[in-house]
Amino acid sequence: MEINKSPILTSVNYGINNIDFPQSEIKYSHGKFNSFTTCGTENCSIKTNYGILAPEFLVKQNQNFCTSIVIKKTQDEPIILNFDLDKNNSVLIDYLSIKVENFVNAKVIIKYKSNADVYHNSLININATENSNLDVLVINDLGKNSTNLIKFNNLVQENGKLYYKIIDFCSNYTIHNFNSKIEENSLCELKSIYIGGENCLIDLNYTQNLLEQNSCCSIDCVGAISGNATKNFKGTIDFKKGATKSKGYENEMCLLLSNTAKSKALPMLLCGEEDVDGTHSSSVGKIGDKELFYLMSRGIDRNEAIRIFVKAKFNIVLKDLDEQTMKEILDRIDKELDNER
Amino acid sequence: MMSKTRLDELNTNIYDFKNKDDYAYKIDKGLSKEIVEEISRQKNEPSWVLDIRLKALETYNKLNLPTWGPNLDELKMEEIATYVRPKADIKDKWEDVPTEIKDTFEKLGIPKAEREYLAGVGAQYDSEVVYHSIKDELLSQGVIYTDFDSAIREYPDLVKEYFSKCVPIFDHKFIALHYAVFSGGSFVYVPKGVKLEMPLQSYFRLNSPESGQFEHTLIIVDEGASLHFIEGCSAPKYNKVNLHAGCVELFVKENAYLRYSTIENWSKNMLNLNTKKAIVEQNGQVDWISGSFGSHISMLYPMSILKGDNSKTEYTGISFAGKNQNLDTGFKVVHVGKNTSSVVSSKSISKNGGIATYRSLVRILPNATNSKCSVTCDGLMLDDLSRSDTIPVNDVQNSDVEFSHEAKVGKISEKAIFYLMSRGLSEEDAKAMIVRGFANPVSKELPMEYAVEMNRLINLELEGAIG
Amino acid sequence: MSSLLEIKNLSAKVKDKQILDNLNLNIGKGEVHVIMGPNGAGKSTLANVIFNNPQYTKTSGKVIFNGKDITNAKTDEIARDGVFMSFQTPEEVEGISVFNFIKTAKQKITGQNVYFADLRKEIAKNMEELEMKPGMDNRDLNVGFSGGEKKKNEILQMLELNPRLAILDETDSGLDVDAIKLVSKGINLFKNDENAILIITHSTKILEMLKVDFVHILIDGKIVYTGNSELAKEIEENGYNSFKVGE
Repeated sequence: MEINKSPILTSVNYGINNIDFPQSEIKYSHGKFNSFTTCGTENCSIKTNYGILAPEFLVKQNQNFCTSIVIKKTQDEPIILNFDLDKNNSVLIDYLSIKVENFVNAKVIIKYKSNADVYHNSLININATENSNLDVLVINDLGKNSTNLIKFNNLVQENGKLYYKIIDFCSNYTIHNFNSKIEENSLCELKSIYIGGENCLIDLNYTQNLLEQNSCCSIDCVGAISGNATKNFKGTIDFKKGATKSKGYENEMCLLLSNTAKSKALPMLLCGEEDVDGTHSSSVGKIGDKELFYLMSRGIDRNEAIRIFVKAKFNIVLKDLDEQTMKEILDRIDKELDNER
Repeated sequence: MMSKTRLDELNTNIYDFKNKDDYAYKIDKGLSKEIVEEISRQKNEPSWVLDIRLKALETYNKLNLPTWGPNLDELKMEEIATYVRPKADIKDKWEDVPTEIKDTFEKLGIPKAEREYLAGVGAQYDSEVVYHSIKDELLSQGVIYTDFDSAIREYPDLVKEYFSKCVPIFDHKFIALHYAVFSGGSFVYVPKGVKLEMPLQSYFRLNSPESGQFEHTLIIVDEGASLHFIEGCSAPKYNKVNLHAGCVELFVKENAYLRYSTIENWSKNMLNLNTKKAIVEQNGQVDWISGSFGSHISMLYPMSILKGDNSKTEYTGISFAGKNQNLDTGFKVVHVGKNTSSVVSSKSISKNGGIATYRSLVRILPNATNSKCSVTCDGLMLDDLSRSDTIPVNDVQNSDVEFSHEAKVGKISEKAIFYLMSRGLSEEDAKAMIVRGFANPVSKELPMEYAVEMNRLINLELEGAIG
Repeated sequence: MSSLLEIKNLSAKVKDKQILDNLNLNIGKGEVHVIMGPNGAGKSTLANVIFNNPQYTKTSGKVIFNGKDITNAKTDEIARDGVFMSFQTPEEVEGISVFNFIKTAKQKITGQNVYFADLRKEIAKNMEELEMKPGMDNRDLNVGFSGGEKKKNEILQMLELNPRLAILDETDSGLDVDAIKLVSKGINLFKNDENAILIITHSTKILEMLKVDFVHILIDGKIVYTGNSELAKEIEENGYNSFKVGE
């Protein structure tokens, strides 16, 4: 008997993921995107082009930025890619291709920032080749009324390790589509945190495909939403046939900071191989009155107490950040939480 | 090294004995307005029932097959006879039931069970109920337990008030089919405050090949009353598909309690597309115990609607998917009232190429404040030919909830096998013991005799074939 | 000939790591042996290798029990021959009660039907001796047991299955003094002239409560020294270094 496409269709039935993004909201690029800076790229070969076709819909026809980076030597300092959007650069449709060569260790930080309402659609392709070790951190901070659509494609080859972190200060539309192919003895770890409010629609679709034996993956997704925000989460760990002795772990947690915020989750575990170890868990809740009371009884005001709780939940990502990034992110979280009141 | 677990299917089991396809009336295969009208005529039923049938047929023709779940291409309605009347009228004494049919139920242990620990029994053979009986002292307390046709005749007001009010005819394609051709099933009414000590049981046997069974079970447990209802089903195996599209509607009133247990062992050519739903009022509780062993394809998602404040539900289920089986099961719960609670525990075992899918819905509506829901599911894979998928949808629409969901999938722990073997158990015994232990949360919820029956089914499934 | 267990030139590895290296050991009826050694010396490996745990591979040597070659026997066969192993961290198995487990194992080992009521009484008595909480035997096997409860459950199984040779792997580790006393009490209840005990441990506390005939020092997969109970005291004072240097 064959398996049909039931997981996808189930999620569609419940309005989770693969949502129809309104055609009217799609924007097109006008001229090239100029507001791009990098640092730490001494050991890389970089080719940046404007207007070359990239291989996926939307981005494909229409992109106004395209760069391909090959990391050739191990380096301690991170490679940083900054995209600063503003009124004059309000549409970014980019295609990034990052490859780390065999036995090379590296870190990449990709920052999308904006102080105006913008439209951003990107396709990020990562290839962690054999025996490589790559850390990727993506920070999205594009402002409340922006649109942010990102497709993440990853290939982790034999003995490779990919550690992916995503931090999202959500925009009106925040849509992530994350898909990894994980080969023998390799690892792909995803940690994603998000914070959103007002009328945000946050739609996260994370899929980890374990293709071969002894592969490992995890999805850790933690968020806090307030106002009338809606979050849809679909996480899939798929043990393909042949993925013996593989392990998969998935955890999703959403803090509802208002009575009108809504959380939908579809944490899936698909298994076509016997000798595997897979677990997932998912939870929804608010910050308990007892916990708040305890902190407040020690002289901490309510807002501060909420900040402490949210940051504690976000620690899965925060703890691995360098000092300066951590400080920036913590400040942004505080600001975000204050705005929501 | 330990050998991989390989389990072969048992070719025969005690459920697989065929009686001659000997009926009083078998309707033409297929589905049409004429056929639906003919069923109604054969049953000599009031016109309001026929009206529902025809409306349902119209709905059936309009609705599409589900776009998700197992592939149902094998189902060809034009090859299914939707109504088969056995050569027997309904009786309330076993000795009056025709010998061959009586023997069938003897082999299945029903009359013995009735003598020993049941308060009442109903037995359906193909499309009609052939036996129905209830203990006298329950009758005097006003308990109604009868076949569905008699209920339509004898309690029309009660039936009209509840029929199709819990599961509407347009819910999905196969429930529309059900309402178009339904026949047989049980009707239960437990009056206010009456608590039944012993369970009632209805048993459904489908003997006729290339046919369908569409029984309708309607249970009303009135305020403060309590009931344990057991449903059993089986059929011999034929080469062509049989269809089961039953419907269970449960109404649990204020402060009432209902436990609904099912041990399903349809033959491996059955498409089991069954619908079960309960509406629970204030302080009421419905508990589902479900063991799914048989059928070729199952799509079965019992549902509790926690309508009243403080209402509760628990679901404990296990499914066992072997060769050529695709069991797509799960549980749905909608929290409507305040302070409602649900506890879901689901287990599945897959082997020999079987596919076990847990597909579920938890929906907590905005007004269901202070509600709690906890879900755990466990998938056990016995070989690398099989599949175990978990597809839960969790839709939480208010912040004042405690919700958690946990799932695991994997094989029998080799360490546990070694531990048991170090105490003198063979590898086969060790594995069988671990599998039985895995199923124990379900069997311990069943009355003793049924737990034994379930363990025996698990043994049948595992017997002699490991190693 | 009163030899019960005879291990000849036993070598074994886990994955690609050699853990036992030409180990020799003889245990006679009525004897209590102790194997001590630093962490990673191969102590726990020995018990698992005797029992043919599939995670370990024997690379050479022989294991003879009661005159029978059990080098390549299956785990359950070894158990039925009369060898018992208490686990350092016993597995938790859901849905199987301690009582049913013991009943099944006892039937397999004795080859005879075990009567429910008799066994109930017997287990209750032994549980009382070990100061286990009444009703523990109705709980799922080791599920949610504390460390001490698990160890006592192992000793309970030993008493019920009554093996010829009991190998106790770190039965005393992680226990407080009172629990060690109870475990030793269990061991003393079990001990007689026809059976034997092999205790694997890294502490000397339990040895104060038992009469020990031989103490072996296991370092780097070999028995480097054998002595009597005095040896244990010496180790407590000076550690294993003197044995390593002498090598």
